[in-house]
Amino acid sequence: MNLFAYIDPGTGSMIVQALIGVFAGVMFFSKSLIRQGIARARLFFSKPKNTSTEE
Amino acid sequence: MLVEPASFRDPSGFLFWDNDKLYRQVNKAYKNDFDLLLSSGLYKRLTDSSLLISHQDVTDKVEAKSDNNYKVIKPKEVPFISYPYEWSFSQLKDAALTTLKVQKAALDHGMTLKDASAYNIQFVDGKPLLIDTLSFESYEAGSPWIAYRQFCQHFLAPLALMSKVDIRTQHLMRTNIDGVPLDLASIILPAKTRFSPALASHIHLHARSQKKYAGKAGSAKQRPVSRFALNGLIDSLESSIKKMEWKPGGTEWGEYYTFTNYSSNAFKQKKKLIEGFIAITKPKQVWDIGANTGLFSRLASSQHIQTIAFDIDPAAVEKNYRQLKANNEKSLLPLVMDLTNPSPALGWAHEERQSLAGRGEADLVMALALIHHLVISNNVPLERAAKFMAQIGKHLIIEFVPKGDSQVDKLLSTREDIFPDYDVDGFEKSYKEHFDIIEKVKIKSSKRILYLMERK
Repeated sequence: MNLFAYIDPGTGSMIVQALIGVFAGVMFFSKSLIRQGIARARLFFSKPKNTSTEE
Repeated sequence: MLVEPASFRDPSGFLFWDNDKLYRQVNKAYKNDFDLLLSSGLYKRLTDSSLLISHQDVTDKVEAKSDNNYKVIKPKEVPFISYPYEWSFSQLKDAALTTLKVQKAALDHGMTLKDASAYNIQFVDGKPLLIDTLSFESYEAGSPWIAYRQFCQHFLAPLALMSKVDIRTQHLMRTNIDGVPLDLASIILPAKTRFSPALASHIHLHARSQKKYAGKAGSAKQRPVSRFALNGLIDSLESSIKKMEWKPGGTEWGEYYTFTNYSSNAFKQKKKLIEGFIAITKPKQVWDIGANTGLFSRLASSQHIQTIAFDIDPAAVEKNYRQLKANNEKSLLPLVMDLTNPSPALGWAHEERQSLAGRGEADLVMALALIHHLVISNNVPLERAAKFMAQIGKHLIIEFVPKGDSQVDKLLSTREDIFPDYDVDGFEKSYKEHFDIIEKVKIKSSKRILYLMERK
């Protein structure tokens, strides 16, 4: 931990972060997976777009 | 040279005034972190995206204040300092989201925010901006977020209270200099918030943990917080704040303009007169006191004149802010202010947060359809109202609303008329003590009179 923290981080606030962080991390990770999944599914099912600027 | 009295907590540096210009001294102790801010590309990224205030390095031009100086920087000017207890719900919400955006960017560049104070955010060009260049330090893998507690106290707890209990709980920010204590927020929040994963953890569980470990710093074992967990923590704070809502309406002035006393012609005349008065006085900063949703404030701000639109009603200020955001207006700052009890000087030695009058003076004060509320609803004598207005501004556009006007009669209908001097003569006599009347125009098809005055 950084020794130069000038605000009191609070022992309870530091301890609880480790706990909340793990759950929140799992949530975040699953959310990202779902998002990626949806994006891939969209890409897979959608027609390829014409990205060329020439008409 | 004068050290800014609000700038003393952080040993990394401090603000000082020299010839009316504000500078920030960066102390030697902060050298490594300051260099990293610039060399990591974080400063460029944040200033390019208008999240952090930009500065110039003036070390060679401006004399430092003390020997432990590493650099002297000159931050971009902030035209008006406002405080979280004066912001509307969405202003506080946007300030919170800005802080989290900054923290996410900092982590990408190997740094982290070492504080997350709402007072480090100011509204510049209509948008929230981090103004403390010294808020960053290098990130060490496994370390928790030092500013987590402060973020919850300054942003999450007040937003949750305003959104889920009552908008007026905002006043808790005024009485608690370091944000709303989490144990207090936990008591006040409704029981159903215990079923919201984010509030259950960041407020209720957090408050219990604080209580459990109070005074037990040595005995507690700190587990490392991985980047994975830290990202999750910040995402959880961000998504819970994004979901928080408060709907303005149903309060005092929400629908004011639907019930005004003006025919459309008189309304046009009033606007035209005010535009003319603004042109005469050429103000750099305007304070519209009792601005409602900012209809008349925009006569100034649309000409790029820095305009602060104060109103007592959080719903009106919220609507004003949403409008300016939708239209990307840059010169307007709406703030919640009860003029009968304006923001006082607060904090250590009364010097950390300035009073409203202390942040003056304005070049032009606009007090439209306000005087009857001060005098009749709040018993402020006319001469004391005049004295205060002379204290906060050089020029004054003021509308006198006499007895016989339906708005005044409405105020008098529920109370005894103890205001024998409340007429045009009494009004002018009181104001002439402090001001010269430059213009006086009667508003068509109403009993109201608009004045332009200059302080003596």
